[in-house]
Amino acid sequence: MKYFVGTDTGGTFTDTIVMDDNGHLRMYKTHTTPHDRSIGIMKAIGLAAQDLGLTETAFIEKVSYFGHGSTAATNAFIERKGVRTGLITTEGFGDTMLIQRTMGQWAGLGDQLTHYSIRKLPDPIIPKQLIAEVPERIDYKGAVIVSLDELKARQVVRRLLEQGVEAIAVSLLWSFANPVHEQLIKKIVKEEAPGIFLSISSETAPVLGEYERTATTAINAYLGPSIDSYVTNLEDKLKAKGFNGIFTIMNSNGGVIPADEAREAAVSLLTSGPAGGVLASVHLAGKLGYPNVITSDMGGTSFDVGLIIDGKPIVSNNSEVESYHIVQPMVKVTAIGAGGGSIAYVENGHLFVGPKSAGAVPGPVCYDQGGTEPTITDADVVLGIIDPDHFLGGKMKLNKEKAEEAIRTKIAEPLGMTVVEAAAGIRTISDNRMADLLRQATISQGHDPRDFVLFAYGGAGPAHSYSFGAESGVKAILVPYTATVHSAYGIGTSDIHRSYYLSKRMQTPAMFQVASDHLSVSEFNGVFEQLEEKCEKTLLNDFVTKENVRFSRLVDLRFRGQFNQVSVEIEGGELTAIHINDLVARFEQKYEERYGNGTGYREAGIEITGFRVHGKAPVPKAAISKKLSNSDGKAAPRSERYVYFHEVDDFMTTYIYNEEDLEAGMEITGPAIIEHPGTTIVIGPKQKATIDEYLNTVILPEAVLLNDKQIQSEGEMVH
Amino acid sequence: MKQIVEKGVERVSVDPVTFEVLRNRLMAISEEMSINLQAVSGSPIVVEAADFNVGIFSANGNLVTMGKTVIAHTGSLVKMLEHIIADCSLDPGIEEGDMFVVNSPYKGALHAPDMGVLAPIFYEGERIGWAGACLHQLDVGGMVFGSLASSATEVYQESMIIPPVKIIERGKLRKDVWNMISGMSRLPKNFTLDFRAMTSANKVALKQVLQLVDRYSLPTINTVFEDIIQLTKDKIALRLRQLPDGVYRARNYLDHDGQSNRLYHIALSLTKKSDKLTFDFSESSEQTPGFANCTESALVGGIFSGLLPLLAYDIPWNDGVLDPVEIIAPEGIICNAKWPAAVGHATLSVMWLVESLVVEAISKMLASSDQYLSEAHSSYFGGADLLNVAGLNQYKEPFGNTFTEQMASGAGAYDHRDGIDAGGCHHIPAQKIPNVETMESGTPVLYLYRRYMEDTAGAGRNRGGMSLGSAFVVHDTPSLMGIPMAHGLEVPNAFGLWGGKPGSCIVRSMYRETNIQNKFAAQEWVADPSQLNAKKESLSAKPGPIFFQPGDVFEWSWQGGGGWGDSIDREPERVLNDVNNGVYQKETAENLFKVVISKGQINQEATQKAREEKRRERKTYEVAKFLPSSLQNDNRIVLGPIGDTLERVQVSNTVYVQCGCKQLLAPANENIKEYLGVKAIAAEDIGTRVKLHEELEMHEYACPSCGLAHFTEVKRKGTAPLHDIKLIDY
Repeated sequence: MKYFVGTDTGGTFTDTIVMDDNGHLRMYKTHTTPHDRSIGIMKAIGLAAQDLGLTETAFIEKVSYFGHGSTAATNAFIERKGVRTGLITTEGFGDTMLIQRTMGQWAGLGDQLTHYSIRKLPDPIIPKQLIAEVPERIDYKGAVIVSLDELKARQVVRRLLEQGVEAIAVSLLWSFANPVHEQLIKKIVKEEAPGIFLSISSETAPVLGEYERTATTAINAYLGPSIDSYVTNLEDKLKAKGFNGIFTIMNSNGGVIPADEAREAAVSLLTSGPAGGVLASVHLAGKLGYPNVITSDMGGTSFDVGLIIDGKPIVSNNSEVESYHIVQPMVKVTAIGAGGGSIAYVENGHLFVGPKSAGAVPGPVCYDQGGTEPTITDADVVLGIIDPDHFLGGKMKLNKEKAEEAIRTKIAEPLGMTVVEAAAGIRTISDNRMADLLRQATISQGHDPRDFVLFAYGGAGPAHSYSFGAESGVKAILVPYTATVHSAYGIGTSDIHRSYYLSKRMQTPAMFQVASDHLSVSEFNGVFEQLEEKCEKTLLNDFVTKENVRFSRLVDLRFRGQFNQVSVEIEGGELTAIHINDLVARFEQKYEERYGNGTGYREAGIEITGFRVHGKAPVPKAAISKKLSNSDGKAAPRSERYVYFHEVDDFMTTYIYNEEDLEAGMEITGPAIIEHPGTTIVIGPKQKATIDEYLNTVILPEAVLLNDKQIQSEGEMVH
Repeated sequence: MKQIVEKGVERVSVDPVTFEVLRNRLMAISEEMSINLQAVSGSPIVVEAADFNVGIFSANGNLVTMGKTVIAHTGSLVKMLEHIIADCSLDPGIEEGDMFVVNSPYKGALHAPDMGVLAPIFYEGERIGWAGACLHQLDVGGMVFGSLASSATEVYQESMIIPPVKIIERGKLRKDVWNMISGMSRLPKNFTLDFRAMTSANKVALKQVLQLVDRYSLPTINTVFEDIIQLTKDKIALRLRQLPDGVYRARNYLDHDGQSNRLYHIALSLTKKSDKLTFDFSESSEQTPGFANCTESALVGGIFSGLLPLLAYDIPWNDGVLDPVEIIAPEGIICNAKWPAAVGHATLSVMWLVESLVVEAISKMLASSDQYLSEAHSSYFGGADLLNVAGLNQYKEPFGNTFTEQMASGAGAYDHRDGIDAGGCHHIPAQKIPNVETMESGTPVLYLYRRYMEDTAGAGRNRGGMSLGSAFVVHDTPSLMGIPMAHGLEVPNAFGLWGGKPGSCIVRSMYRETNIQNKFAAQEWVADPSQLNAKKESLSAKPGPIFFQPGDVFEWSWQGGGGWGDSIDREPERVLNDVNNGVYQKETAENLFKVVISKGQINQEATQKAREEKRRERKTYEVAKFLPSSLQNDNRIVLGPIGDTLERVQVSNTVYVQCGCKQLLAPANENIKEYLGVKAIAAEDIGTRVKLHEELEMHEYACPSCGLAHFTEVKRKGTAPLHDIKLIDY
C-alpha cells in the first residue's frame, strides 16, 4: 500500500488528508504550531499512522507523495520577518517601491477606505538606505540608451554587502524588454557574494510596470532565505522518519511546485491558502462535469469567493498582499469580512453585521471564552442550527444561554424584537450580503450566477450556503465531502504547474486590415519557444518526464488606447499567419462577450501586451474513489430538533442526520441538517439534497429567485 | 440645502433586517454600476484613474447611494438631476425608458468634459427613482484637444455645451441628436463608448432596482430610500451637535486666470449652529476673465468632496450629508460664475480650492473638540498641474495624452501623525498613478527621474506629506506639444494649521537646447537635469501651448502637504530621520526645525540652544493688543481645545483663549492673532521651493510669553489677518 498526503497549515488549524492506493480518504485536523509548524504537521502524521495501525516510520516510508501548503510566507511577510535585503535599481528611480504608485496608503482598507485619519504607509520592506541606484538606461524598445556603469555597479554591490544584506533584489527600468544590464549585475553579485540569495526582476517578474515588478522581485528576495529554511526544516523532519517520496509545495498560481523550487519562488507562495480550496474545487468539478463553479469558503472571519469558468480557475496577474502589489499569476479570490465570528450591532435603530469580527479569541459569545459581542455563530446556536452539544463533533460545548443573553440585550431589546427575530435577522443580513458578493464576483467577469454551481466549504459555510446560495440564484449548491479540509484536499490532488510570462508590446496601426501584416509570426514563435523552454526546464525532474508535460499558451490583447485586456489561448507548435489572424478574431469576440456588444474598438488598432505559457505535469497520486450505492436510497435521521428558518419565519421540526450514516444516492428532503465532525450542513425547507457518489451533498435550491421582469424601458442601442 | 422629504410617497414600516438587507443590496447595485461602467468604457481615465462616479436617486432626485470613486462627480449628478427635473418635466417630459445627457457646467456638470447620463426609473407608470453616471470624457470638442483651453474667455469657446437633452426616448436612442453630439468630439469612438458605459451602468440599476420593487413592494423601497438618507442625516446631525457652535473661516488664493497672472481669492466663512452648517463664500473675488472659474455645480461638488471624507468618514454617503448644508454664494463670484464665463479649469482650480477651504474650515471646527481633534488635518496640495500633450507618438501616429502623476502630491498633517507622502487627492479615496514604463510605452518621452522631492513637505511638529517630482526628455518623436496649466506656482496653497507651515509651490522648468544627446552618446546617464548645459526657461502658471524640441527636458514638482503645529517642537530625531530619508535637505531642515546636525547626528546641546534662541526671538515679535496682566492669576476652568496647543478657558464670566504655556492670550470672541506677536516671514524662510506672488505676504504669529508659533498665514498684502475661529456660546 502507498499513501498520498496533502497538508495545509493555516493560522489556527493544520488540515491533513491521507489517501491510499484505493482512493480511501482520511481527514485530520490538528492545531497549528506557529513557532515551528512542522510539529503540528508531524502530529497529524502520527494520528494517521495510528489510524492505519502503523508506526510513524512505517507509515512515512510508504508515503510516496507529500504535498504541502502553508501560510508561512504570508506570515513572515506580515510580521516583517524576512531578511535584510538590498535593492539595486536605475538611477533616478530608487523611490519606486516607496511611492507604490500612491496605492500603499489605502490598499486593503476595505470598509475603512473613507476614514483618512487612520491611514498610514506600510513599513518599507527595504529601507531607503538599502536601495542603491546605478547609472544605466534602456528604453521602451529595449534599446540601450546608456550602458550600465559596471564599475559603479560593483561598488554598489560591495556597499550593500558591507551594510550586511543577506539577499539582493535587482530591478531596472525596462529590464523585461532587455535583460542585459540585470544579467551583468547578476554576474557581479555572483562574483562578489557567491552564496547570497538573489532575485532578478527580468527572471522573477518580466512584466511591464516597474513598481509591481520591483515589489515582486524585492519581496521574493526578502522572503527567500526564510522559506528556504522553512522547507529544509520540514523536509529534514520527514526524511529523518524515512520519507523518500515526492515533496511539493502549493503556490498561489494554480498548482504545486517541487519543494526545491519553492525556495527560489517565495513570492509565489503568498496567498496560496485560499488557492488550495479553489484548486480542490477545480479537481472535483472536473470529476463531476461542472464547467462553471463559484467557490465559497466561509470561516471564522472572512468569506472568500473564487470562480471557475470552463473548468479553469480565474487567475489574476495582479494581486494585493498586505498593502503591496505583486505581479504573479494568482488564483483570484475576493473576500469580505463575513464569517462565523462577524459581530452584529445596533446603531441609530438599525441592525448591522460585520465587518468587525470576534476572531478565534475571544470568539463568539457561545464559545464562553470571554466574548461579549453577539456573532453569526451565536445566532446559529440560538436558532437551533448548531447543536451546542455537538459542535466540532462534540469536542467543544457551546453556551447557548450566553449567546441568547447577548443577542437579547445587544440586539433584540434595543430593536424591540424577540431574541429569535434578532438572531434570524443577523443571519438574513449576512446571508444576503454573501449572496451580493457571489453575484458581484460573477458579474465582474461578465457572467450570470444562474449558469453556476456553488461549492460551499469552510467550517461555517455549509450552515449558510442553502440560503446565500439560493439567494444568489445559482442552479445548485454542493457541499464537498472534504468541506472542512478542502484546501488540503486540493494540495493533495493538484498537478505540478509552472507559468512563465513575458511583457512584450506588439501592435497594429489604426484602421488595420489584416493583423498578421503587422504582428510578426516569427516573434510569436520565438517568444513561445523561449517561454516553453524555460517552463520545461523547471518542470522536468525525477518524477516528471518530457512526455508528461502539457503546455498551454496565452496572449494578452487589448484595443489600443483602451485599458481593459483579455487573455486569449493560442495553439501550440509552429504558428502561422492564419493562427495570428484567428487569435485577433477570437480576441474581438471574447472582448465583446466579456465587456458587452459594441464595446470592441477595432478601428483604434490592436495591441498585444504579453505572452504566457502554463506548463502542467501530473504527479503520481491516487484519486478519491466512488462510493457505490448499496442503500435503498432512504437516509435514516438520528434525531430531530426545532430549527428556525427565516423562509417560513418559524421553527420547524427538522431531521438531524449524521454523515456516517449517509451513502451515495441517498436523498434528503429539507428542512434537514447533516452533522459532520467539523461542520453542519443545512438543507432549507422545500429544498432537496442528494448524496453523490463521492459523498458530496448536492442541494437543489427552491427558486427564491427574483422575478426576472423584463424592463420595458430597456431599448436596443446600436452605435 | 435640499428638500429631502419625499412628497407623495407612501411609507410603510420596514423592519431593521429588511432595511439592512436592502441597504447592502443598493450599495452592491452601485458597485455593479461601477463595474459595468468601467468594463464598457475601457478608457484609461475611467478604468485606471477612476475619474467617474455613479448614483441611485429617489423619485425627487435625492441621492440614496453612490460609488467611492471621484467624489465630486456624484455631487454633480445631484445638480444635473435638479436641472433635468426643472427643465424637462413639462417639455419634453420625463417618460419611462428615457435617458438624459448633460455636460453644461451651468446645468450641473463640474466642467464640460465631465458628462453625465441620468435615467428615470418607472414602476407601473410611476416614476420611483433615478439612476445616474458621470465620467470624464477625453474630448468634448472646443478650441483644443482635451477641451481645456487656457486661453478661453467664454464658455462658448471651450467645448460643446449640452443642457439636459433627452438622448434616449422611451428606450430608443435619438440617433440624429446623437450624431450631432458625438460629431463634435475629436474622438467620436471613445466618446461613444464612454456614453454607452454610462447608459449600461444605468440599465444595471434600472433592472435591479425594479427587481427589488417586485420582490419587496414599492412602499418598502420608497421607505428604505428615505430611511437610508435619514440614517445619514441623523448621524451627521448627532456629530454636528457634538461639535462647538462657531464661525470657522478659511481663505485661499489663485494665481493666474489664463489671461494674466492676477491674484484672486476664495473666502469661506462657515457658521455651524447646532446641527446646521452655512457655507458663505460672499467675500470671494469677482469671477475672472479667463477659464479659472467655477459654476454652482462645481461649488457644490467641491463642498461635497470636502465634507464627505472629513465629517462622514464612517457614515454612509448620500444626500443626508448635504441636509444640514446651506450655501451662500452670490452669482458673479469666482466660485459661482455667471454665464457665459469660461469655466474649463474649474475642477483643477476653483473647485479644488473650494474643497481645500471646506477641509480647512471643518478641520478648525473638529480641532475645537476633544472628541474629534484627531480627525482634523492640515491642507492637502491645493491643485493639480495639468499637462496635456499631443503630437506624433513614437510610432509616428497622431496621439494625445494626459499626465496624471501630479496626483502624487502631498497630504496634510494631523495632530497624531505626519501627512502621507504622495498622499494625493482628498477627493479620490483610492487613487493611483501610472508607472513610468506605462507612460513611456505610449507617450514619446524618456524619464530622467521620478522620485520624492526634497523640501516639499510643509514643516510642523508633524510635517505635511512630500510631493513627487519628475523630469523627462522627449524621445523618438519629431514633434510634441504640451499645454501645462496650474495655479499654485506663486501661492503655497497647502496651508498648515496651528503654526504649521504651508507645503511647497509647484515648480516647473524647461531646459532648452540641452547637451543630453551628447551625454547619452558618451554613455553618461543624466538623472539630474541641472547638470546639463542648457537654456533654462521658467514657465508661467498657464503659458499656453509649448513645443518640445528633441533634447528639451521638462522638469516639475508639485505641492507638498501642510504641516501641523510648531516646527521647532518636532523631535530632533524625527528631523534627522527626515534628512536621512531625503524629506529635507540638511540646510533646509536646520533652518525650518532649528536643529543642528553634525556628522550625521543631532547635536543635542546646539539644537536646544538654537530652538531657545528662536523662541526668544519670537517673544520679541510685535504685539497689537494685550490683556490686563492681572487676569493671568485668576482661577480658570478649561472648556475645550483649539487645536492641540490652545485652550478655551473660563475666567469668572468670560471665556478666553490660553496658550499651552498657560499664558492667557485673548478674549475668545476676538481675533487671537491681534494678541499674538507677529512677524512677516519670507518665502525662503519656509523652504526652498516656495514662492510668493507679489501681492502676497506671510506672517508668523507666536505666543508673546513662551514663543510658541500658533499660526502661519499667507494673505494679500495689507489685509487684516483672518479671524480663523469665533466660537458662539463657547
